[in-house]
Amino acid sequence: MDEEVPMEKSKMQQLMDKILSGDRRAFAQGISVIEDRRKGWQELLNEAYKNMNDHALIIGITGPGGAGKSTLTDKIITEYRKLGKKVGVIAVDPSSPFSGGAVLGDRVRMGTHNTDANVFIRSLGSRGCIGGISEGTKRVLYLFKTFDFDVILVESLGVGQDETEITNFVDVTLVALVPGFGDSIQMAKAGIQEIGNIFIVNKSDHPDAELFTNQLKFSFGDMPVEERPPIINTVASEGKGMNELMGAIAAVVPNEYARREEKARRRIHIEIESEVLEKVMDITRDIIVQKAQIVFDSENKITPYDVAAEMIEGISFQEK
Amino acid sequence: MRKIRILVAKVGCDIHERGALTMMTVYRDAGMETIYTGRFQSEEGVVNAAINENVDFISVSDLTGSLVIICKKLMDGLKEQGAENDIHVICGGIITDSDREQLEAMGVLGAFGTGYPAEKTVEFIQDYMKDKLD
Ligand SMILES: Nc1nc2c(ncn2[C@@H]2O[C@H](COP(=O)(O)OP(=O)(O)OP(=O)(O)O)[C@@H](O)[C@H]2O)c(=O)[nH]1
Ligand SMILES: [Mg+2]
Repeated sequence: MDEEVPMEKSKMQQLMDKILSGDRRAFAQGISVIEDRRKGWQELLNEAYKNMNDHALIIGITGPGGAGKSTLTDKIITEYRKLGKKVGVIAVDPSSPFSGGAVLGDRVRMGTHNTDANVFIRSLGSRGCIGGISEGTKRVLYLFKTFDFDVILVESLGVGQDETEITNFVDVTLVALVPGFGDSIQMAKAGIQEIGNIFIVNKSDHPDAELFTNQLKFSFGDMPVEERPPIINTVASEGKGMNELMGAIAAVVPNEYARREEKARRRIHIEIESEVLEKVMDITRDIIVQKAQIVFDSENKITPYDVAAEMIEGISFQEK
Repeated sequence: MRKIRILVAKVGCDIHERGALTMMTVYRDAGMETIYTGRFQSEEGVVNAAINENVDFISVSDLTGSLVIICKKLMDGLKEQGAENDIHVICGGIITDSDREQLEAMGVLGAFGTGYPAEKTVEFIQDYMKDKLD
């Protein structure tokens, strides 16, 4: 008879087990392990990836600073709680590029849910990522998908560029804009039409709301009618327009669920690519500094292209 | 990289916010991540938020002279959830000598009076965390 050696579970496997059993402290600690890249983080991320499920509806909320994203998130949580849904929230605020620290203020608007055990809100600093969705946020989202949420809301700051990536990580993308002629119009120009499943004109108590809504509608004019995203007017601070918003979300869900496989494929592609590129950049950083010096000292007898070609050869050699 | 995370909390009906907001920017400029609960929170809500945010500290400020009562409830809440060794409580505001004694006795890590320089509080935190950042 073969002797069974009981395999001792690693620390990260044990943590994953606790998270899967619904232990919210373990979950909160696991997020830090991944976010801070603490010891064992890659193992935990792998465990999360293997154990995640497709149960939760994932909603991204993006838009310019101060548009009312957190206030909207607060009200959306309330709506889902009325339906008895368990809600997870990832709220991203910018980190200071100078100190690396951050003031994370999103949950101030969500304070009423602090005593609700069926709402889990986690604030993240963007940690070096301006706009778009940071590596940390993506990784933490995988862990959220192992916890038994019915709905996961991701609030992130949108600044126009490079916003498309978030759409691959969520089912439904809400773009929150405000009347006025600042960032919101800039975003409309930057081509956000493509990323939003639903556009929210928040602060519709503002006198320019109607004008702005029309401008936004007009900016969708080039799109085929059936592809034009709905525009919902809200006054989030007063809870106005929430029924319409919830209705609009429910209406786009079937279509977006049908795209889950396509998005999953793209995510896999993105993940492999970014892991590999990150590694390549790590490995080559110092060498590039040395090579740059050589090019400079050669007084243009050696070109940057010579050096790059030589380095690339080295990489392809490793591949064989 | 391991970052120090601090939940800045306001409990009860204290309307003063300036102290809390100032401390947050000071923490941020020292490279820490600071999360604000907003005003008028309950102790239970603050403990939940601290656990979900997995912070190292709850920094509670109060100018109504209620720090002893607030901190007692926070400490009890953390103990109830088994988090008292990972999440520490510090406080700032109006603190009498007798308050300080009681705060210390219940395990509050630091109590800083209204005039206490913000940088000193940062130093205190950094010093405490020195060996804990893996
Ligand atoms: N007048 C008006 N004010 C609103 C409305 N919605 C939110 N606000 C206010 O706008 C301010 C910003 O709201 P937040 O929800 O924090 O906005 P945000 O987009 O999350 O902000 P950042 O996360 O800092 O980018 C707050 O003072 C809100 O009370 C609204 O519909 N009308
Ligand atoms: Mg916000």
